[in-house]
Amino acid sequence: MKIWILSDYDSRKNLAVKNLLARFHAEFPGHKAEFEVLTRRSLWDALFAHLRDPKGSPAAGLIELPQSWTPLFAKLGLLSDLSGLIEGPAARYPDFIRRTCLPAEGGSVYAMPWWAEIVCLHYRADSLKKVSKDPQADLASWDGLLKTCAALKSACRKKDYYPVENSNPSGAVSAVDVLPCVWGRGGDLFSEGFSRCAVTRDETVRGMEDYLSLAARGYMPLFEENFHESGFLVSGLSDLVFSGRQPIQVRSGSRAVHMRPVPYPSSGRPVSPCFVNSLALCSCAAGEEAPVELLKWLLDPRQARYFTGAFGAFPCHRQPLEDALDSTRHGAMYRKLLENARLRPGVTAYPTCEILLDSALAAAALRSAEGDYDGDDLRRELIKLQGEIDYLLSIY
Amino acid sequence: MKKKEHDIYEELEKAVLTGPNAFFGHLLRELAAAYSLDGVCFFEPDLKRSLLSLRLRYKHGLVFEHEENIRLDQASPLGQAILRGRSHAARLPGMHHLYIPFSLEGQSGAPGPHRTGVIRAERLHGKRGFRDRERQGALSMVRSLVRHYYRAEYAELVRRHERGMAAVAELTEIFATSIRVRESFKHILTGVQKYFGFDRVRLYLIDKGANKLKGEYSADIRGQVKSISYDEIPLEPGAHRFADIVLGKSTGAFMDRYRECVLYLPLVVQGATIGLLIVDNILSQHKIDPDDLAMLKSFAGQIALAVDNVKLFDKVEELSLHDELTKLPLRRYFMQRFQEEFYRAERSRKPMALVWIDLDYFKEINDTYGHQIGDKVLKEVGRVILSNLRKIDFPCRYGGDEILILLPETTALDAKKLCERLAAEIRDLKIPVPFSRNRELQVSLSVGISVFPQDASSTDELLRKADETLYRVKSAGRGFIMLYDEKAAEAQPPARDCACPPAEKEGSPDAK
Repeated sequence: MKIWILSDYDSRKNLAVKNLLARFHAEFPGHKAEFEVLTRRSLWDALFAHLRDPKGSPAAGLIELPQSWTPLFAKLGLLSDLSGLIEGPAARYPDFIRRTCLPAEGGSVYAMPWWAEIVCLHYRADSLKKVSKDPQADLASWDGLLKTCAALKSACRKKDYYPVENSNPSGAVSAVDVLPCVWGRGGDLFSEGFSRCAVTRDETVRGMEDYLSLAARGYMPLFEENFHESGFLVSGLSDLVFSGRQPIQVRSGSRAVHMRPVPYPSSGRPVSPCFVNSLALCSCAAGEEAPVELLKWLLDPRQARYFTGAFGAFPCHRQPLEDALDSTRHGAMYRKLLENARLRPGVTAYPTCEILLDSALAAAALRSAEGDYDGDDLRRELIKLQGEIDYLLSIY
Repeated sequence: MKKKEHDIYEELEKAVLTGPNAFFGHLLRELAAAYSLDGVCFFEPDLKRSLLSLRLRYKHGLVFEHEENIRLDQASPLGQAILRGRSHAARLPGMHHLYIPFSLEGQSGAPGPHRTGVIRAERLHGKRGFRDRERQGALSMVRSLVRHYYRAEYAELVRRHERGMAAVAELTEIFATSIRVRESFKHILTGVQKYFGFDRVRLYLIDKGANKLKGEYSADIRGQVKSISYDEIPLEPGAHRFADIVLGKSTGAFMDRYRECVLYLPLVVQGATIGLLIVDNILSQHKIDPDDLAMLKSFAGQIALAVDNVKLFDKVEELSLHDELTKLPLRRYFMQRFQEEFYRAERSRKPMALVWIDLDYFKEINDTYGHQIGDKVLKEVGRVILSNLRKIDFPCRYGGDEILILLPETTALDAKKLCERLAAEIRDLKIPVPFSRNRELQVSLSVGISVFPQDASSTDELLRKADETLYRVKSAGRGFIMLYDEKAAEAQPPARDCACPPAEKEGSPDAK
């Protein structure tokens, strides 16, 4: 039996999966499970390859996928209905997850939320102290963030210093990165009711440009060597990072440096972005015992707590999430954010829209890195993208 | 070391046939072990975008896909080293990196003018950096091992070639054996979908009479076919993109992005466009492979011929299986469907009625007014029957003036109601007879009905019982409808004003 896992900028996640599977083998010696780590694009290609040629391109029995992909692949018949296999799926989750990720009572469940990111801005308390008397207040708005970046940049003499670390492991900018800014501006990728694509709406484009301006102003690196695990924050080459994980403690020489989270800076309206990854059973494995056993086992609160804790993510299950929030000193802030948590919607055309937007933003980021960014190029791409997604909405 | 190298080569031999990822996965593990590395990465340069793009990474004893893109700035030491094919060592925050460029094509392993790859060896800060001797050793090890890589690509190429050959053979057979219209269109579409792996394949055909482009079928990514007959496009310039393509007013390349994942293939036979095949990957956003594009274009002629053959065969079949006069199916076709419907009724335990109709005094009509009038009567009766039946009902001209109707999922009472409606409409027909006294002719029916399962347990028995019932109607004076289990006295209507020979009713043609 094989399980496909999404690659993560933090490779400790892979190690956690390896350890989990070793524990699963110990408990269920009859079931042998292997895992393979795929990038989002690779997973997308592999799922479509399987749909096209199920025998020639076999899929893993168990698949980790972004929550927003579930409706599409369920509609294409790739995912098994889990409602008969897992008892009371909805009761396991807090409201903010249940509302978006699970159907109304009695509906088919095609994926079980596994772990979540609650996206905030994390800052190095020691560095910010030099440029801000009240970092929490200064970083509450997007304008405040830009001012803080300017102050940090002028205060640091290091050649390769960027105030904000690029949290995208690809070194580019993607849809997931700009979405909180888009929401903050009151924009979205789709119109209300999801009948039209809305990427060319003014608020949406301005949200994207907000995020891209970090790079354009030299506050965020693009297409640089990846330092996430060893990196920018530790060496003092950055002081801020957008992160959905729990605050980490980094070391600078012999000193422990604390990272502190603040809500995502608002550029109009406050946003609490929450991104969820789910586990789904491939329809090719329907009726097989081992993938179902593994799925149930991975969703057990004890395993979920261990797994998410290993790389700083948040569990999706009600009780482990409560435990995680209790154990962090910023629990009250996270609880407040979760009251208005906003997740990506489940629309069939949504993943394709994100993929097209990823390409458009990556092209814009590359132009920006080359010092040749032109907002009109991005707008032209967005017009084409909107036409294509509107067409998709009319047929799927 | 020599033995170790031999072992590595042996293992690479196995991995090379599995594909590029298996090959590099193995290579990364071996490098990490040989040089005590904390991580190793394999990058492929994306020269179009001047990026080094990460493909595979080794860390924590695991090989996995990961994302990282590094801009190859020609002015930077890394960019210069990669472009010149030299190794490059750097001390970065928390990490020592060693970049080793190599060729993915040549057999020497040294970077050439074409495709190159880059290995990045990583050691955590705190451990020793990469000394010259180590750099040389790692460089020669990488270049020595990747000499075998071309075989992984070759194996991949062979697999693609085999797939292409299988597609040619099977698609050619599908196109050559396309016969029955509905099934054939479906086979053509699923064939194209299966071998080229598109998200969607759609077939539109030109209806010259209506001057429209009509949707036929659409096959989805799983090869499931559905009708798109609801989609009709006026064949006029500017009416729709598809119409413009068929009329030669547009190539279909209306948007750059579309050109990469949509292909419009006009179907042309002997210089005339008969339809349009559209394939797309809009949902998955996968670019259509140029090789697939070329192959599909080369198949366009065959597809067009197959579609045209199907249409021609359909016309011929229509002529051979249907009576030209009444437009009702012929006996041979009926018997085939009768058997199929009977099995279905048996399996589903649903009732099925068989109606046997005889036109009263049809021989006399022919003898009295001539065959031209007889043919008119038959034509009108056929029209009335066809216009009153459901899609699942199946009528046939059984011979002469006898007509059978198969009514699946129908009880005896419902069958009788239908027959009463038919009889009434037919009685109301006014067949013009210019040289007769009344200048028109009325027709009546005698009808016998048998029903499965209460009357019969086989097709032969059901036919026999409907025939027996009809015989009893005729014996009792004609002009009425009777179920097998009815008595003639119960079934006979009180007045039967038209069940009499035409001569008796209005006199012979001579009386005019």
